[in-house]
Formats: sequence, structure tokens, C-alpha cells
Amino acid sequence: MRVWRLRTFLAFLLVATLLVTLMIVGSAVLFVRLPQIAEENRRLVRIEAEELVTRMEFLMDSLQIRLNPLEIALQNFLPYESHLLLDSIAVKGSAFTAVYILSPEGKVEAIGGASIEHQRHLDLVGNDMSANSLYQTVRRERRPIWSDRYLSVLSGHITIGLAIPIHDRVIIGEIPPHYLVRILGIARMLRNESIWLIDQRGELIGDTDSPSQVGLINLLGLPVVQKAVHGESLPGIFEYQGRRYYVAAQHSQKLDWYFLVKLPAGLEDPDIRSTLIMVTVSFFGPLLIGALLAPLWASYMARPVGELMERARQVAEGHSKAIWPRSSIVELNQLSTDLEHMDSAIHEREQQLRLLNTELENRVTQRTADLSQANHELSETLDTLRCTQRELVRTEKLAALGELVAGIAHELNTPIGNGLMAASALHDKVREFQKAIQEGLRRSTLDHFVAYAETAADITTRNLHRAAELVTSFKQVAVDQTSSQRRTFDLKEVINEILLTLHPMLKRTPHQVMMEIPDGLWLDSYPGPLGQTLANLINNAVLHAFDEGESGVIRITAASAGEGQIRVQVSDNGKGIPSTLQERIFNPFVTTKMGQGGTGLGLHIAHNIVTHLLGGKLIVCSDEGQGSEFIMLLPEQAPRTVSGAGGTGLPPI
Amino acid sequence: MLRLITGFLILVLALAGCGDVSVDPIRIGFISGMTGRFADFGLPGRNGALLAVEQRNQTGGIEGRPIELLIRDDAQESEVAIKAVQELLGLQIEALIGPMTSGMVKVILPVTEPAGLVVISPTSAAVELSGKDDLFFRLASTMRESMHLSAALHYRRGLRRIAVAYDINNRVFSESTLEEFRTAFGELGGEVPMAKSFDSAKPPVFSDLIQELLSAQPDALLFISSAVDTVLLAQQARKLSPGLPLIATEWAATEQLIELGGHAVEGLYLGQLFDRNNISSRYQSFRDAYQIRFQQEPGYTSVMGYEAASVLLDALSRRAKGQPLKEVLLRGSFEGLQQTIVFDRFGDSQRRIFTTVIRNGQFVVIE
Repeated sequence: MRVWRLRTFLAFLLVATLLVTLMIVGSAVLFVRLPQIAEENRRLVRIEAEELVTRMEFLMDSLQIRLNPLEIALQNFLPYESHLLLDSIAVKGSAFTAVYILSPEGKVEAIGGASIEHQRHLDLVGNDMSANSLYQTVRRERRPIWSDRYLSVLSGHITIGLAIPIHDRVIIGEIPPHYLVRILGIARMLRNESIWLIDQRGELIGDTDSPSQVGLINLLGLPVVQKAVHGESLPGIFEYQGRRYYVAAQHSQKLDWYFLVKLPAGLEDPDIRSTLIMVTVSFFGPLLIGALLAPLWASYMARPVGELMERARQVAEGHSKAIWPRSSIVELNQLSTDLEHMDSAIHEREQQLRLLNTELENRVTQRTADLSQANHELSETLDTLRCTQRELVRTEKLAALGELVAGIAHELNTPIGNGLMAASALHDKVREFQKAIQEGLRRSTLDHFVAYAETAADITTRNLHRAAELVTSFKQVAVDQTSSQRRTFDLKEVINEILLTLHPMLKRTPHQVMMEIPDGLWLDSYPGPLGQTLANLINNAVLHAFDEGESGVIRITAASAGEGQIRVQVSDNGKGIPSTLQERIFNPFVTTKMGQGGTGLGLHIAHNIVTHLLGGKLIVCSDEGQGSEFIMLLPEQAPRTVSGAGGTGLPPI
Repeated sequence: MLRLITGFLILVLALAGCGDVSVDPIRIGFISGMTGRFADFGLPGRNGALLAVEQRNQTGGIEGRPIELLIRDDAQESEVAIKAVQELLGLQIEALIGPMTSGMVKVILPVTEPAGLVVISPTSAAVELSGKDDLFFRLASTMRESMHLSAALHYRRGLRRIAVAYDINNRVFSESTLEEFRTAFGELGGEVPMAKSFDSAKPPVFSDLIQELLSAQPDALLFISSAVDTVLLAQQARKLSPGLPLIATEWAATEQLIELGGHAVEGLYLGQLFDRNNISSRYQSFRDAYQIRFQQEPGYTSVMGYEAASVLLDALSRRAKGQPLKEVLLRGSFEGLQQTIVFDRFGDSQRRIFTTVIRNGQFVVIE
């Protein structure tokens, strides 16, 4: 959308209003006035044509009357005697250039005219005029006849001829065509009127506009003249040589001429032109004045608005306390007052806001202090928590170690017990043998004793061997568990050892642990933490996978996963883990058996060991009621970057 | 807003509207004496040319362009004629028809020749203007042929002494015509005992002139003059010597001769360049059209004016783009009302001459 300045807009509005008004008024004037003028002129030209004929006939009659004295003269004188009278009629400056009397035979009897010298009188008298058409017509019709194409006997010029029959003679007067034009000029009444006098043949015999055209032009070629000659009605307007005229024609019966009266039409019409000029002046005049005054008026109107704007801007920039302007326009004053009110209202609110703001700032400071206090307390709590956690882990480890010791004790119990039993039995036999010796040794008794001693020795040896074996084994596990040493080991062997240590615990449960691990899966890793992980996973299964009284199967499998990785799976056929729990199962302190001995750290520790120390991944797959499966993906070469082979597997908090 | 203003301006312009666009007309000039003493010669010539142009315009003009005939009066005065021709040249006319008299032709040629304007005179017959390779064309044959015929005829009639009155207002024509007659008549054994000149611009006392001629005791009188002067001379001759044979030239052969002359011109011999009684459909349809248009009988100059204009219009329509008009006129033949018109290399043409005598107010062809 176009954006305007108020001043421009007002100026444009004023000029546009003026323009539209003038246009409507001007158009109305033109639409109403112009057809009126045209109609008026058409009427005028018609009336003028009619009246012109009357006037012209009257004027021509008066010319005819001048020849009347000749009638009396001819009754009293001989024709040739009347030439002085003829001269006086055709005196220089009169209408007639020549007047003459024709005898009944058509011969010139007497002639008078200002330009005819005496000698030529003689030339002309006696000339035969009998073939003359005017003469013949007047003889035939016996009434005064006007002819526009009368050939002068003097010059052969075409003139206006007037023939009057007097008894059997004929008087002929010659009138030059320019005289006719003069009469036309006198007869016409309208200011702008021009008249064509046209004869039956279309010859122009009088023209008030261009007399030089008289005698040269034949106008019968013009449709308007043809219509006039044939007595048809004329069009109101016709065009001639690029100009338009209102036209009317009238035929004079007496003279047998056509009077074509023309008034300029269109722009040539002075009335139309003056109307147009008037409308144009009254259009452009006020427009010009309007164009000059509108900007002044507009700026006068726009000034108070500008002042208001300026004042409002000052308020916006924060300058206040100035006086609001007043103008001569009520609405603007109202606006000014309202703005003033608004200004003071804004001030009040600003004050309030400032107060509130200060209060708020104080409150924020207070809260910040409170918050940092809380934060500090939280940090302390966290530290405590970390300690507790570390304590817990250690406890866990100690518990594991306890279990280990219990396990070792339990395992050693059997072979050592067996050895002890065999040794004590042998001891009893030895005493029996000693008694037998005193009672008399019999060969059968000796044999029996030797056999028994051999068996006892054998049992003792075997059981002690077994105990030694166990001790060696435990020693390795203990080393691994306590030192977290890195070494290269066979997975199956290590898992076997771990299961061995778990055996006492597992034995108390109805569950069965199955291991399916191929030989030759070698890892360069940390067997201690791996063992702890497995122990945690198995422990987790034993504790959580099965309901009371259920006997399940825990399966440990391992296989090469390619790309230097080994997959170890611990699965059970228990009740599975709810999916909501799966998402956070490796988080610390997540347990379903809170208060029943579970710390909620077992899986968390396992996850940490696998991901951080062993450089692998631990994921859980479980469907409720379908059992669970923990999958470890372990690199064959554990990463060395992880420092602290003695890492505790502590979770970061 | 703008639209309103535009609308208003259009309204104003429409009211002012007189500017209509039309095809440029082809302009042709016509010059002849239409006022004054020789008007009887010029006006019918104008009518003829005007009729030809109007008829051509009714059939669509030339290649869709209308023809405009610009008519000027030479008043048989040199200054008027030169001014009129210069005015016509300024109006870019294609060619000029006229003037009708040799005197005026001689006056205007120095103006038209340098301007390259083709001039076709319907009636000019002076010997002096023939045999020149210029832009001047004529439809009438020279007076040499006419005077030979005339001399032979009147010699056969037994006339031996013929006195002559000639108008030096058209000197080029009248003097050479007189010489042609004198030579031709002399060769046959006839004689011109007296030749008196007069100036029709300052008319003399004609009875004195005739008296003088009669003093030479001629067998007949020859008037080399226009119709008006021929009539005035004839009137005196009839009064002073009734029955004396009278002879005139083609110059006087207009319809006004009879109207003005009445009984005085009865028995007058003169040549004509057309046959009033020709019955060819071409001539008859022209005659009808002329009568309807001008409400009078066509005269000799009407026919010549009509033919001159027709020849010019034919040539203009035949002309190829850029081709000089002169070339078209020289090469072609043109259909006249009573004969075919062919120009020789000087732009002169041959025309049949009909010798007539006035009997009972009529021109009667005798050979």
C-alpha cells in the first residue's frame, strides 16, 4: 500500500475534490449547453434562410422598380430618344452597368450605361439579340425575369440580367455579379452567417465569404446542394473544405435562385467556442488556484498534527513536562488532551513499575542466595552419596570375597574331610593291627591291613591332591578378583573358575546353571572384573528372574562375533524384565527388591565394567514371560587407554 | 481519478472533433479564363474536366485515392495566370489542365517547365507552341491544318479576297493563325487584302473596324477572335454589309456564339473540333451526363476539357511507380469521346476538324 504524507494527502484530496467537482459541472454544462447551442443555431439558420429570401426579393424588386420610368418614357418617346434616361438609370455606381431596349424583333433600339462611350452606342444599336435566352424567356412568359447567366452584350461577361416586357418591347438591365454579392452582404442579418447564392445548375453566383469563387465554382457536386436543388430536406450540418456548418436552404420562386445559409458549426461556432473556452477557463482557473492554495491549506491543516506528533515523539523519548499544543480544530484538541492524560498515566505507571522492579530485584537476590545455599547443601549431599556409594561397592566386594571364602571353605571341606576320615580310619586299623600283633599276628590279618592301608593312603593322597588343586584355583581367582590384573586367558577356564566360586551360592537354589563355551576363546583383558560382571549377572538372574519355588535354567554361552570381538550371553528362562524397567536397568540403585538385600548397584557396576574397563557393550533383551538375555560384546584386546586396572567399576555420579 | 481526467479530456476533444483521417487525394490543377471576355471558352472546359473527375471519383478514384480538381481563373491576364499557377504548384498538383488559350499557355510554360509540371491544354492550337520536346501536351491540332481546310473551302466557294480582323489579346494564336491562312489561301491563288488587329481587352469601336475592312472590298471577312468579339464584329458587318460571307475560327466555336449573335451569325462558317451529332454511345452517354450535371448542352470546349482530364486520369492510373507522367502520355493511346488520342513525340496530337456553318441557330456540319 502506498504511504502518503498527511500534507500531500490533504493537498491531493483538496485538488481531487475540486477537479471532480469542476469536471462534473463542466461536463454537465457542456452536455446541456452544447446541444442547446446547436439546436438554436439550426433553428436560426432555418429562419434566416427564409427571411433572407424575402429580403433579397425585396431588394431585387427595388432594382426592378428603377426600370419603371422607362415604361412611361416608352409611351411618350421613341426608343432611341430615351438613351439619356437609360444612361441616368445605368449611371456609374448604380446597380446596372447597362440598360437597353430591345425591339419586337430582338434588335437593340437604345442603350445606356456609364461605361459606354458614344461611339460604341452606335456599335450596339441595331445588334440582333433575338437568340438570347433571356429575351426568349421573357417574350414567352411575359413577366419580369431574372437570369444569373446572362451574357453581357458589351463584354460577353456572365452577368445578372433583368428582363422586363413592356408591350412588345423588352427592357434588359445588366447587373454585375459582384453587385449581387454586395446586396447579399446587406441582406444578411447574422454575424457569422455566410451565404451561397446558387442557380439551378449549381453555379455559384454569390458568395459572401469568398467572392472570388463566384463564377468559377459549380456546387452541384455537393450532396447538400443537390438536395437543395431537388427540394429535399437538408442535413442539419454539412462539411465543406474541412469546416462544419449548420446549413439551411431556401428557394426564391421569383428569382429562381437557391439561398444556402451557413453558420459555422462545431469549434468554428463562436457560441460553442466561447462556451468551451468558458468551461475550460472555469475548469483550469479554479484548478490552478486550487493547486496553489491546496498545499498551503494542507500544511495549515497538517501543522497541529505535526506538533502533536512532535510532542508525542518527545514523550516517547522520555522528555515530558512540556505543554501539549492547542489548535483551532476541536478533534485535535481532544486528541491533545487525551494524549496529555495518557502521558501522565504512563508516568504514573512507570513509577509503579520502577517500584515493582526494585522489589523484584530484591526478591531475586534473596532467591539466588537461597538457591546457592540449597546448591551447597546438595553438593554436600552428593559427596556423601558418593562416599556411601563407594562404601556400598566396597561392601559388595567384601560380600563377594566372603562368599568366595565360604565357597573355598566348602569346596575344601570334602577332600580334606575325606582325607581326614581315611587317615583316622587307618589310625583305627593301625591300632587294631597293633592289638593283632600282640594277640598273634596272622598272615591274613597282615594282608588285610596292608590292603586297607594302601586304600587309605590312596584315598588320602587323592583327596589332598584335590584340595591342593582347589587351593591353586582359588588362589588365581583371588588374585584376579583383588588385583584386577590384565592378562591373556582362556575364557572357558576363567568362567569355569567363576562358576566354581559361585557354586556354594548356586547350590542353595533350585536353579541350574549351564555353560556352553567352546575352547580356544582367548582374551587379553581383565579376568577379575569380567568375573565380577558375570557373577553379578548370574546373581541378578538368580535373585530376580524366578518366582519363589520355581526352578529355572541359567545359560551362559559365548562365541566369536568376528572383527576381534567375542559375544558372551547370560540368559535365563525366567519371567523377564518389564520394558519400562529395561530402559533404566543399568542405572544405579535401580532395584525391584529394595529392602530385601538388593542394593540396586549390581547391574550398574556390571555395565560400567563392560563399557569402561573392558571396552565392550552390555545390552539387555527381554520380553515379559519369555526370559531375559544379557549380551556382552567384548573386544579380544581390551583397550589400554583405560588407566586403573584396579578400577573399582564405580559409576560416575 | 486519472481515468476521470482522461475521460474528460477525451470528451473535450470529441466535442472539438473535426479531425477525420482520410486518404490523401490526387490533386490536379485546372486553369482557364472563366471570367471576362473568354468565359464562354473557359467555363464549359471547366465543366468537362469537372465531370471527368467526378465520374472517376464515383468509380473509386485512382488506386483508391480520390481526385481533387483545383480550379483557378486566369482572367486572360498574365499576372493572374502566373500567380494562379504558382499557387497550384504550392498545392502539389500532379499535372495541370489548361489554359484554354494559347496566349495563356505561353505565359505559364516558363513557370511550369522548370517545376517539371505536365501541362495539358484542351484547346490551345497555336502553331508556335507545337514541335517542342517539353512537358506541354495539347489535344487540339494546330491551326495549320484548320486554316488549310478553311482556305480550300472558301476558295472553292469562289471567294478570292478575304479581309481579316484578329484579336491580339491572344496574339500567339491569332497572329500565327492569320499567317497560316494567308499562306494557305495565297497558295491557292486567294488574297488577304487587309488584316486589322484589335485588342479585346480594350474593345475598339467595331463599326469603325468593319468599315475599314470593307474599304478593301473583300469577298468575305475572317474573324480570328473569341465568340463575343466575333459576334460584335458580325453584328457590325451585318449592319454595314448585309450578305457578306463571314468566317470565324474554332476559337469562336462556343454555344454562346449563337446565343449572342442571333441572326447576325447566320451563315457564319467555322471549324469545330467535334461533331455535335456524333451518335457513338461514348459521346451520347457523355452528353447525357453533362446535361444532367450542368443542365445545358456540352460545347466544344466541354468535350475538350473532358477529354483532357480523361487522358490525364488514364495516364495517372497507368503510371508505374516512379515513372514520369510524360513518358506515359507519350507512349500510350487514349480513348477520346469521338476519336482516339495519340501524342507525337512533342506532345502534339492530331484532331479531326469538322467545318460547320450556322443555319437557323444551329451548327451544321458541311464537311
